[in-house]
Amino acid sequence: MMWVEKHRPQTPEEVVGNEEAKLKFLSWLKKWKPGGKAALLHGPPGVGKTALVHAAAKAAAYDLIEMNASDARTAEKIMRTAGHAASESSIFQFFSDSKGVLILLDEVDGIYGREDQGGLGAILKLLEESKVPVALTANDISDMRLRELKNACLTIRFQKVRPPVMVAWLEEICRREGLEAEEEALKLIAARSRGDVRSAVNDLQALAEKTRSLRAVDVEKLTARDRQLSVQEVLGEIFLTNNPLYAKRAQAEAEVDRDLLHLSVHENLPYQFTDPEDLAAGYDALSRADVFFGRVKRTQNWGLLSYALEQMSMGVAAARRGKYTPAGYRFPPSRILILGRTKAQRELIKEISAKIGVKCHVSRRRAAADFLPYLRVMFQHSKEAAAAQLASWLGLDEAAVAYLKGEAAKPSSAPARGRKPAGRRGARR
Amino acid sequence: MSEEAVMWVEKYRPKMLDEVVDHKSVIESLKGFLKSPNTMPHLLFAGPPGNGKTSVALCLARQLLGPGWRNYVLELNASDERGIQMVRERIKNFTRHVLGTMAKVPFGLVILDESDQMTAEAQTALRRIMEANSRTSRFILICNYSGKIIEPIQSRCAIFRFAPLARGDVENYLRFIAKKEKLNLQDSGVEALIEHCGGDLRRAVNTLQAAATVGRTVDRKTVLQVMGKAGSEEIRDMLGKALKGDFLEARNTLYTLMATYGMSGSDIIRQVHREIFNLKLPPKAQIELADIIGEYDFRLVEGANDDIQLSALLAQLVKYGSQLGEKA
Repeated sequence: MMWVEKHRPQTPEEVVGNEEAKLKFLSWLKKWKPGGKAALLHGPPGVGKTALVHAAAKAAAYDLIEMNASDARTAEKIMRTAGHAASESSIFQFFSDSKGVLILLDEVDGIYGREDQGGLGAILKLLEESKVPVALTANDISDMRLRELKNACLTIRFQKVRPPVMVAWLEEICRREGLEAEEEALKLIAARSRGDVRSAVNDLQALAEKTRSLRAVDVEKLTARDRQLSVQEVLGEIFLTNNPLYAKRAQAEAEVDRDLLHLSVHENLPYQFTDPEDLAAGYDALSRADVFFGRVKRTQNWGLLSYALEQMSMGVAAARRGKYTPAGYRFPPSRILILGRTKAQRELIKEISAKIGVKCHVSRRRAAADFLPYLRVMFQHSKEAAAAQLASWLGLDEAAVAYLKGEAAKPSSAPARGRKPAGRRGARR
Repeated sequence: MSEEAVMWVEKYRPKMLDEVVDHKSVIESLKGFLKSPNTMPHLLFAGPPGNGKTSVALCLARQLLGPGWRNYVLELNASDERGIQMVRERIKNFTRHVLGTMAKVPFGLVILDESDQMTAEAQTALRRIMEANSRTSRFILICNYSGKIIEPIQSRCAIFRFAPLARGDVENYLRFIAKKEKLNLQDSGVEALIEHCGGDLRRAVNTLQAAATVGRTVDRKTVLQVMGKAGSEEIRDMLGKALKGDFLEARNTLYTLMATYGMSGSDIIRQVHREIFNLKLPPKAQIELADIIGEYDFRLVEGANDDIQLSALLAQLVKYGSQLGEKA
């Protein structure tokens, strides 16, 4: 279990630092009456904004209804889940011992995206109509678009947690976990975290995996690689580790983003998993990861992302049965290079397909599938005059005709064409 | 229409409803609307690709709206238009334009092709657009699967199902074109065209036109030659490499197919599916492979990256090939 979850503050007192902000919030919650303002907690990540709301709700016997930025926050959805509770608080109270409902809207500064059209308006409406207290959190409220929201709320500012306070909390966790640690080591962790308690606790847990008595030098090593793992290291963990959990962690610490890592595993998998069964099982995991990525993209439900990340790291690691030796991994993935090289050609294909589409009443997609291959045959076998007639009717320019005739039209597409036969000769591998 | 169409699919596209082969009962119903256009509801045409839905919609538009019909028709393709916003804008502009000249025609006609490519959200928005504009416009929605169209839209449309074209009708049409184009179309050529294109007349006509450039006599050999040049050779090559265990070469071929031919993942997997049955494998192996392909076809639809899904399929083929080898 993640320590940040395990040692999440249970009471407001346990929330580290930011005493002033804490008191301000607790007094707001205590005094809140219907018609009162909502509270907007803002400040850098990992300083305990959400943790405080959770702990305070628990202490004051509120039922917490939480929505965060990873929910597709359309106006309707907010009104459906939050608005419902906000307007029918009495029923809630009737059936439980609870004091009522506290609504938490997490990371509201992420709300004004394309996918959140009307989301901000819906929140304002909710704040206005709510019959229960609403707390909001945000990292940065300097954006002009949040001005109205700021005016509708009591703003409570959180600051970075100072090192001494943080060290005390890390010591407490060490005590609970039975972990020995030099004070110097904890100071280093605190300094590295730049005021972010969450990342400090994560670092502590990562270090504790390797040793039960933590020294300052151990932390220095961590510092040296600056937390982020190179692509080579991450791929090594994914392909070779004996414990798939390490692959998962390596993915989380990778210096490249998830898409690039996904493609890199895709690129290198066949060079590493040479056994057909391992190859198929590894690719099965990559394919499942891709399905989750697709669902995230379509539904904007970012909560599904972790399933994708697990499949592409742990899933691939767990697929391996054979033993392989480490390799120098290929990076960047050749697929990206190919896409770069063939960009001009793909643009050309799109253009031709669009022209066919207009003339022949089909979509670009269908034009590419059901016309292009046949047009290529026609252009490659027709007499000059017939081909010219075809080109003029479709409105194709020289580059398009050259492509359809199979001539390397532009230098940019030449390497791609020249490369294929070279690859074929490469069978000596 | 100043110049004569050069692509045969356009040159021989029917102009009037009576010229349409097949779909007799659909045509009869639609002709009823010609007599009293104002009774025409929104229409939904559903059926497999290349069987005449768009042709019928265009014929209907021409006959309903008379000369100058093109001015009163907005033709959109849902798979091309980026998002519902674009569709909404274009329809709004269009209805405004039609209003200004409304004396001449009963209504403007919006033909929205491949409407099943829209997400459920986009369709909900479309439904509102349809309602907001029904005074001035009628919609013809065209799709492959009516099941992918949301209920509220279906209930607002008269639904016409375009059954797959009868084999005889496809054959007659191909022979008609061959005669007009003075082609020697052999029986074996017709057989091969129908085998490969099924009831998709558009693909069959395109294949025939391509075959005609290879030789004036079109027989099975010419048709297969065209199919090969149009990508099936490379697909078979890719499958062969995978089943022999050469994953890297198979994946390279895949990349080439996507880059050179601009084929999408679903086009490739459709062809892979077809080619499996042309491989020299026992029927049991063919159906097992088809099962695997079906799974990845589904994941392709759900996923985000075509070449990862297709590579994963190739990896499955490598594994299957190695197991076949062990058994042999």
